[in-house]
Formats: sequence, structure tokens, C-alpha cells
Amino acid sequence: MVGVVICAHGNLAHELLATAMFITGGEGTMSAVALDHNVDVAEARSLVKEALRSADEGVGVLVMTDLYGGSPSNICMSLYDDMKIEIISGVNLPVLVKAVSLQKTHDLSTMARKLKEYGKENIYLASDFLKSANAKNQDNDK
Amino acid sequence: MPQIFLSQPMQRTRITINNRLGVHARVAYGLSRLGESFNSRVSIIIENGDGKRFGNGKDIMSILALGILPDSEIVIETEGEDEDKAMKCLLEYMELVNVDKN
Repeated sequence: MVGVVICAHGNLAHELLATAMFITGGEGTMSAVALDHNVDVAEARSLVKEALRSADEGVGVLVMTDLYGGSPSNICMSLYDDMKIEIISGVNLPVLVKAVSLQKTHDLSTMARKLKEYGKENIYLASDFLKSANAKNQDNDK
Repeated sequence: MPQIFLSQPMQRTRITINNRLGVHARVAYGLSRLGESFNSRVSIIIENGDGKRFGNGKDIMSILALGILPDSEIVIETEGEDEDKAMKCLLEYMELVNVDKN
């Protein structure tokens, strides 16, 4: 099974993990690494490396970071050549929840590509729906 | 010679959502995971006066995007080799979560 590690600023990774686990009823194998704003880079790198090692069952680990170009993302990217990982930046809850169902059935590379698209597809602008619903209601009132 | 396409039978059941929060994230997740466990196509459909909206019953976000509110009606469709079993299990699941205990 592909491992999943969330790596983000402050407490975000733990909160995302807790919320994903709440929705999925605890299904799935994921872990979180919180990188404090004041943490030393070498120490952070070692923390992330250890988390990735623990999560790897031999088929690699998908790392989800919060912000491309931010420290958590940069630290994960610095490990790319040494470990079997894929990194998705811009983690969101749809991606995390979907990862639970894909991690048992997909290889690392396929899972990463699918989830990248899935994350983008599932950002909605509410007014697109609401304007269309309001227009229909107004038509019905005429 | 004209080709003849025989459509497969399909299971179709209409239910009313009775719980306080409608089909929320945890319910949608459970429904999608159950849907994924069958080979049949699973659809969740909202039908109203001016048309239908289809959701993929194997995908949590597709179900959530339907915005299924309390007291609304949905149609569950299953189509494929295990459609009977799929429908039975999906209805059992919905019966389990479709009470106001959330």
C-alpha cells in the first residue's frame, strides 16, 4: 500500500489528518508532520525523512504539502532523489479523502497524477451554482 | 444487418433523506466506499421539475456536489453484473444512516 504523509506549516497537517480521519471513519493509513515556523531546517529535514521512512511499506510514499515553494514543500523536495516519493503541493481535504481509496489499489505515480487532477477538479465557486439556481427560481416565478 | 443492442436491466430505487444534515461528508464517504466495492455502475440522481443531476455513486465529491439536503428525494441506480447485491447493500447503508442520529 502506498504511504501517505501530510507535511505542512504549523498545526495544519495534524488538523487535516484529524478531519480526514473523521470523515473516513479512521480508514486509511496516513501520518502528519508539523513543521514549526522556528524549527531548524536540518532538524526539520530529519523529522520529515523519518516520517517518510516509517510510512514506506516498500512501494513508496505520497507526500502532500500545503504550499509549493514553502519550507515544508522545499524540504520534501530536497528528499526526492533519495527516497521513493511523489509530492503534491496544495493539499486539500478532497485529495486526502480520495487518497484513502486509492492508496490500496494504485501505484505511487498513478495515484499522484490522479489526485493532482482530483484536487483541482473539486474546487467549486459557489456562486456558479447559486446564480444558476436563482435564475431558475425566477423563471419559475414568472 | 442492423445491430441490436439489448440494454441490461437496471435497479432503481427512490428514497427520501430523513436525517438532520442530509447527505453530509461522512455519509457520502461511506456511500462512495460501498459503491466502489461493486463492479456495477452506481449513480445517485436528483430529479426535479426541470431535469436530473447525476452523481457518481463511487466518488465522495461527486455525491457531495449534488448538495443533497434533508427531506429531499434521491434515486439510486445500479447497473451491471452485481446490481441486485449493490442495490441491497446501498439501501441497507442508507437505512442505517438515514435516521436523525447525527
